[in-house]
Parts: sequence; C-alpha cells; structure tokens
Amino acid sequence: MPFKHRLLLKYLTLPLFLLISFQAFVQAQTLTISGFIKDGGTGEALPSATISIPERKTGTRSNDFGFYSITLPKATYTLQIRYVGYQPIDTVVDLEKSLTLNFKMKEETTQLEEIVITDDAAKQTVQSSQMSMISLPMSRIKQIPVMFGEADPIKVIQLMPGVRNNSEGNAGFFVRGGGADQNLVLLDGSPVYNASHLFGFFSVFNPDAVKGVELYKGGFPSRYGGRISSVLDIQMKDGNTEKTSVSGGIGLIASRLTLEGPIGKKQKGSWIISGRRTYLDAFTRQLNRANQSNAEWNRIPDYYFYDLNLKATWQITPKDKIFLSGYLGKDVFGFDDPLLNLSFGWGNKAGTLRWNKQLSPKLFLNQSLTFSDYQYNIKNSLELFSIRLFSGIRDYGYKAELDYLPSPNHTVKAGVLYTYHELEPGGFEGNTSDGSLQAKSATKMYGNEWGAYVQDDWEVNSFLKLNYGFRLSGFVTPDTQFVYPEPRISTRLKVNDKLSFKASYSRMAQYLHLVSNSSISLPTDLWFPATRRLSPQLGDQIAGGFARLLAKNKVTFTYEAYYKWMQNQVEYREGAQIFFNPNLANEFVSGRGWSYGNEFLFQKTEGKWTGWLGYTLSWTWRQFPDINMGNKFPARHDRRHDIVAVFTWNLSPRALLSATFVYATGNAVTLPEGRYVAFDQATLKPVVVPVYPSRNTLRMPDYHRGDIGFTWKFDPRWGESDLTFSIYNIYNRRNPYIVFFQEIRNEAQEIEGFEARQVSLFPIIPAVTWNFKF
Amino acid sequence: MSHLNPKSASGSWLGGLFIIAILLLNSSCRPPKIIEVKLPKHDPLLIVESYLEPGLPKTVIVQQSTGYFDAPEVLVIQNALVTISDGIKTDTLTYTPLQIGAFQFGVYTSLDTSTFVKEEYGKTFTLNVEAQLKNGEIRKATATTTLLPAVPVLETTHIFDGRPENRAYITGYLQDPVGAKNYYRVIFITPGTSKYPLPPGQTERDSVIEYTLADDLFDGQRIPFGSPPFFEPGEVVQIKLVNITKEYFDYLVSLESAVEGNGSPFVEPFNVKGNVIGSGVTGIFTGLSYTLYRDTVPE
Repeated sequence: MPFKHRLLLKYLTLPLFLLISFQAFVQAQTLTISGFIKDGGTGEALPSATISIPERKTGTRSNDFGFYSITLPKATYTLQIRYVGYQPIDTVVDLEKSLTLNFKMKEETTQLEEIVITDDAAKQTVQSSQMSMISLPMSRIKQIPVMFGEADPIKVIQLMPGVRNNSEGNAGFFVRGGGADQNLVLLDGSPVYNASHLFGFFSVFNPDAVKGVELYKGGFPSRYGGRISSVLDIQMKDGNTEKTSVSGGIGLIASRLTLEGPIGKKQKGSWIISGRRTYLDAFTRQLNRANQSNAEWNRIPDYYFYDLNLKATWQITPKDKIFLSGYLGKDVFGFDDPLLNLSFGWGNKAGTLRWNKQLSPKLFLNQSLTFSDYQYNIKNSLELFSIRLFSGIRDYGYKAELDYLPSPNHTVKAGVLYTYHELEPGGFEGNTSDGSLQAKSATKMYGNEWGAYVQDDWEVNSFLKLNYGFRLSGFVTPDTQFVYPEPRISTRLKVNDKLSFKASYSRMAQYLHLVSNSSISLPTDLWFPATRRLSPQLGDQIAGGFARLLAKNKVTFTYEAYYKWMQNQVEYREGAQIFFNPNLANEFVSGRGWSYGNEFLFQKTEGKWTGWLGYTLSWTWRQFPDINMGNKFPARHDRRHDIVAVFTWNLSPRALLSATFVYATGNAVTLPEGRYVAFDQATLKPVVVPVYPSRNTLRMPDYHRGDIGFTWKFDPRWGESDLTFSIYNIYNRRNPYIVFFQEIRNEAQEIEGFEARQVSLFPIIPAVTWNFKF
Repeated sequence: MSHLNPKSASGSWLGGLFIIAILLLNSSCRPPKIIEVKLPKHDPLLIVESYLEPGLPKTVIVQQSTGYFDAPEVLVIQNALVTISDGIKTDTLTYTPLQIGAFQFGVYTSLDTSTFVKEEYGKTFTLNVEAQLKNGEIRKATATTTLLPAVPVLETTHIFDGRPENRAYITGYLQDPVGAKNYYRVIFITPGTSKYPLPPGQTERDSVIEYTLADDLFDGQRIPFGSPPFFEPGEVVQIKLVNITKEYFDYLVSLESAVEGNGSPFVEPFNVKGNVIGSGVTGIFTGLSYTLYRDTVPE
C-alpha cells in the first residue's frame, strides 16, 4: 500500500499540537479537579461514571480505571457524580486551587431493589458523541434469565439490536453482518481468541469475575483496532480493597467460587481469585465405573471445562498503581478405552501486567504488557496408529496509552501498541506404533502487528460534538508487510436535552483470519495470519441515527442505520481439504462482504420495571469469485428480522422477576433442491446425490423463544444469599437447529419418497442456582 | 495412518463429539420432526457416469436430475448419442436398461468384445454425450481420463478389540510408487459370510467400509490402511484397492461432502465436482483398475 510518512506524521501530530497550544492558552486561567471514582464497598474502580457541573452545563466521564479530570475557571461548583446502580453524590466545591478529589460511591442497598439510573445516565445517551455502543454492568447481566441459569455476558449481548448468535444457545456472536472472527474480545486488555466452552454453549467469562462489558458495534474509537466488526471490552473485577469476602454459586451445570480481599493493612492493594468448573464428568465417571463389568455398556466420554481468573492490584504511590491479571480456561473431552484413546482439549490463557500512572492532574498514562494463547489439541490412539491434530495462536503485546484532559471540552487519547503473533495453524502428526511410518506437518507463522493512534472527543459547542481520530496500523511478516491508515470520526448534533442526531464513519484493519467450514463455532476453526496471498481484512462502516428521551426521560429511544463494507473475507474453497493438509493456505479463497440494516432500541432504565425492546432489520451478503459460481449469497448469519424484549420487575426488595422474548427470521441455509441416483461402480451401490441451489438461498423456520427468571433474596446473618430460578424456552418451542432431507423407505427398504425433517436442540429447561456472599 | 479423506475425518471427530455435547446438555433430546419445505423449481442437470474397468464392456449411465421431492425413480435418457474414443478408434454405445437394486438405470454400452476395455494403462480416453432432457433442452457433455494400473495389497495384519464379540481391525499395506502423486480408494467387502445384521437397505454384497487416501505425505512409502473393528474371527473379507485419478479422488471427496452436507452443521454443502464438462452437466468419467485381495480373519 502506498504510504507517505511525512503526511501521516503531520496528520498524527496536528491535533495534539493544536490541543497543547490551546492548553497553554487556558492554563493561566483554569484549575483542575481530578481523582478516582470507586465503589465504596469493594474499592473497585468505576469506569464511565459521569461527573457533571450543572453551573457550566458541562462534565466528563471516568476512564477505564475510574480516573477523571475536569478543568474549570476559579469559582464554586456543584459536582454531581453518577453511576448505574449506585447512590448519586452531589458535592459543592470551592475551586480556589487545583484539587484531588476521590469519590467512593455506595451501591444501592440491595441488588434487588429498583436500580436507579438517574436521568443523567439517560441524558448521556443524548449527550455523548459515541454511538453504536452498549454498556452493561454485571449486576444487570445477572438479572437476565439464560440457559441452565448460568449468567453469561455474551448471551446478554446477543439480545441487543445488531448482535446475533449463529445458532441456538451458541455463545459465538455476529455484529452488523460481520463474521465471528471480526470481534475483538478483550479481557482486561488481552485478546481472547476463542470465547466459547462446549461448542459455544457457554462463554469463557465467569460472571463472578467480571465487572462489566462494553460492546462497540460501530463508530469505533481510535484506541481500538485489529478487528473490523466489533469490540467487546470485558473488565475483570479488581478485588475488594475493603474486606476479605467469599462469594459463589451452585448451579445445574457448574459451580463457582470467588475469594477476594485487600492486600496490606492500609488497603493499598487487592486480590481476587475466581474459579468455575462443570461437574458432569463426576457423574459420567461414576456411571462408567458402575458399569465396568457390563459388557454391553458403551463408555460415556468424560467432559469438563473450567475457568480460573486471578487479579491483584497494588497502589505503589497515590499516583502509581499496578495490576496483574490472568485467565486460564480449558475444555477437556476424554475417552479412554483399551484400544482407542481419544482426547480433545482446547483452551485460552491470557495475562496482563498493567501500570497506571497519573503524570499530572490532566495526564494519565496506562502501560500494559499482554499475553494471550489459544491452543487446541486432538489426540487419537488406536493400538497401531496414533494421530494428533493441533493448532494455536500466541500473542505477546505491549501497549502505552495516554489520556489527556486539557479542558472539559476535550478528552484526548493517544497511544502506541505492538503485538508479536505466533501461529501454528492446522498442524498434525501421525505414526505407527512400530515406527514404520511417521508423518508430521507443523508450520509456524509469525507476524508483528503495530499501531499508533490519537483521538479527541471535542465538544465544539452545546450543539456539536466531535470524536475524531486517526489510527495507523501495520503488519510485518517474514515475506511481506502491510500498512493501513484507519480514520475514525463520530459526530453528535444536539437539538435539545432530549434529542440528538449522530453519525459516524470508521475504518478498521484486521491482520488475522479465522477460517471455518461449519455453521457453528468450533474450537478447530483456524486462525491464520495475513500473508502475501491472503490480504488483511478491511472494514468500512458508516452509521447514522438519533437518540431521543421519552416519558419524562425514563425511556431512551435510539435508532441507527448502518452500511458496512468488508474486503478480503476468507473462506475455504469448495471441496477444501481441511485436516491433514500440509498446504492449507492453498485451500483458502478471498472475497468481499457487505451488510446494511436498521436498529431500533427502546430502553427503560428507571422505575419498578426496567428493560428494553429492540428490533433489527438487516441484510448481510458475501461474494467470492470461487464460491457459488461467483454469485453473491446471503451469509449464514443473515437475519432479516430480529425482535428482542427484555423486562425485569422489582416485585419487592427481596424478589425480582425477569423475562425475555426473542423472535428472529430463520437462518439462511443451503438445502438440496434436486437429486439424482449415482451408481458407484466400485462398491456397486446406488447413492442418492443432492443437487444444491445457490448458497444459503433457503430459510429455516422462524425462531422464537421465551424465558423467565425469578430471584428470591434471603437475608442470612452470615452475609447475602439468593436463589435464582429460571425456565429457558418456557413454552417449549421446537426451534430449528438443523433441517435435512431423508429417504422414506418401506418394509423392504425400498425408497418410496423423500421428506424434510427438523432437529431441535433445547426443550423447556428449568434451572435453579444458589448464590452466596459473605 | 494415512491421508484420509478430510470429510471423513472432520465428520467423525467433530460430529461425534458434538453429539456427546448435546447429549450431556440435553437428556431429553427430541427426535427430528417432519416439516414442510417449499423448494424452488429445479433446473435439471444432465448426469453422466462412466467407469472403464479392464476386461469389461465400456458403460455410460446417462440420466437427468429431478426435484428433490419428486418420485424416487431414476429419470433415464434413452435418446442420447454416446461415444468413447481412445484417439484412434471411436465406439458408439447403445442404450439398454439396467436394474440395480430398486433403481432402473439407463446404460449405454456395447457387448462387442472388441470394444471391451483393455489393460492399456496410460492411454487417454474421451467421452462425448449429447442428450435431450425431458423438457426438450439439448445438453452436451465431454470428459477425458487415463487408465491407471492396479496396485497390489502387500499383506494384512489383524488386531482383535478384546470385547466379548472379539471383532478384528484389519490393516493392509500398499507400496506407493516414488514420484508422482497417487490416490487410492480402499473398500472392505464381506461377501456373504457375515453373521451381522446388515444395515437397512444393504445386501451382503455391499461394502462395509470405504474411504480414499492420498500419498501427499507418504510418497514412495509402505502405506498402511485400516478398518474399524468390524470383522469376526474366521470371516472372509475382500479388500478392493483401487488406484484412482486425481479427478476421481476429488469427485469422491465432493460426493461425500454433498451427501453429508444435507443438514450437517459441520460441512458447508456444495455440489459434486466431477470431470464431465458442459453447460448444465455433471458426472464422472474414470478408469477403475483395482486389486481384489482375499483376506481371512484368523480364528
């Protein structure tokens, strides 16, 4: 890609230069209030808390680490601090000199009481230049009923407009027509490459270890890059700095236990360790053992998954804090038989070492070292042969990010990052026990990804707000390199306090591809780097819409329309040889994708009942010269209509009732339209051969489902406790999972005709979970 | 361990594990229910299949495809012009009906022994078909192939699974020639001696298991190929080892994908890719040279 260094340098430095000049101009006249906003009970930093100054009709928000800074002329002000689920703080400040003010907010007295979101939070939707963003605290996520009662951030994100799963119960997600690999999933800043357990039925995020999630569907801030469709930023809890506590839960499928507490007598640090494990294997092992002497017994394979989250923080000085966080999760299938030994394991590891430094009341530096690793391994041993299939990706990264808050009208962020990628896609080895035959193919691939960005959130005046930025990213491999400029801009035109119009454009570059041949997310889908033959994915998205407050600011209505172009999409060619292939790169083909749609979202965030109602009308297309005879086709996750309703009722301080309803157009599928009978002369067998039409032209029956949940809170002397009952698919709808055609045979086994059949996965599933904390 | 057909590998591994996952999660799995699916109107294809088996007459099966939910019979085409040429001599084949199981196929052949396939390995043959479909459309198809020599089965070994029925794995070996890329098809057949209850629709003449191999990783080596533990002590098994062309290998892989892709979430469905060329046509034209190895499972 042609690239003019000087010009880009100019683009990168110009906004900073202008802001520093501006800062010099105002410095003599203004003073700064800065500090941290934390949870008063646990000491957890509260990101995105709002700090409003009503006297000047201005304000700011805390960053990811709870840090805020606001610069104002000398005077007396009221500071209004607001955060979802916390009691508001109003305080008067006589600003004579620059101040450091830390705030500890109190959570609403019980989780089950009405969650108060003052209209400041709702107004933020109108006020902010950011669009296409969803922020959910874990307390909200835990209220939504899900399958088997296992609270899951990704399953709740899937209930938002523009986000969908690819099949029932699956934790893979698709945003605005993008692929499953186009979501940047960050856990405390480290990428997670496979966010699913058990073929996607559960996500890897233990609800007890997660503080909250933010999903960006468009209008991407420049600080994010590396994926073209979405960013799912998941923050882990820091641990309780106030007291040692134990919490956990016992569910139908898995149990959880979390321990956390302060480090040091002066509460300068915190630690948290949180684990989760399924226990189906305990039952299946017992069954296998009990039937050991039963010759007819077919052994049930052992299966389990676990997650372990660890984090520690330490406040070195009032202005320096370090964080160390880690994640380890694994799925294990095992089948041990005298002649066949099979094991299939996959898992993620992620770690972050972070150093926050407040350089000045207006400057905040965040530096991180990150590590991420995803591997899968399949081993199969017969007495004579053994086979191993393996694949993986490992990252080592460094990131330095600077937050600069020169005035209430500007929030500047700038940063640099570097990631070293090490990939081993599609490796395999096989050998015979006598050593007579040995084969191995394992190709290690490397890539150096780098990026630099600067962005400014600029409130030009009460009408116009701009978030503009520029990111430059690149990817260097041993045989080639790529450099892409990624401009980003979002704008807000505020008509009044209740209505604003928004628009955005963003370009994203992605240097890694996930190649899949199935319609469900599998652990064996391969991560493959951009190469000379396989160009990086590029995504351009425009979006526009408005935010409107209704019903005395109790209801927020947002509408957004988007159009997205995706270049260099990768799929397996038709008839690709996926396993045992030493030349896997030859099996990929490139094409393009595009999607467009409309998203409507009503959210009620105040009152006895809260919830949202969302509707998405969208189209998603793909076109590859070497697939489907070069004709365009709908993506598997193309979904014309998608309606979601989520409601929670606070019946009393002890009781909460929740319900969800989902309706969606059936999945796009490829089913045979014709057939013929081939005569296989080698086996002398006739074979019924399907003839398929254009890819994904047919639709499965529509999908709809209702779930309900009920939580009853106890008040034991030793702490807190609740029982959560949930019923998934309450009216027992047989939703389509697979549709296939089969032969109808008579008693003589002659074919009499053909029929279509539908496989459904999950019937009505009641579940109960007991949660505790002390 | 050999270079297995990828679809067999992916299907068996992942499909099996996925079913286990579903069973673990969902003890009340419901049987598939019958639904109604409205299909678009099918534009028929001309289907041509021809296997040149040394010592046998040249045969070409010609038919057209039909809508999926139409009557199950084969739509034979009787008025086609079918020729096979070896570059020197062109044989015109004539129509004859042939009943195979419950299906009646339309076969073009010649019973003149001078036209039978000879062991002329390396020779290139060209097939031409011109046929009128039921809707009156004329389709033309052409294909070429080369006859490959058979490859012997060197020996077999047996391992019993130790279970009460004590069924045996059979492992055979072949010697792959050095140099050229080679492809094989392995078929284990139990010709009438099995005591097993046979799967629905199969006769004793049916193959028990079959798959394809490629020598990508084992060029010039002594390649083992195996069976699952299906065979009883004392049972006689025929192992058919077919030396196949790249085109036939690709055809078999795509055939399996097309059949498995019908409703499987693990396979992206696509149509069969053969070497028969023409607008609105598909099929396969290939030689079929094989070794038939008689194996007796030890008592």
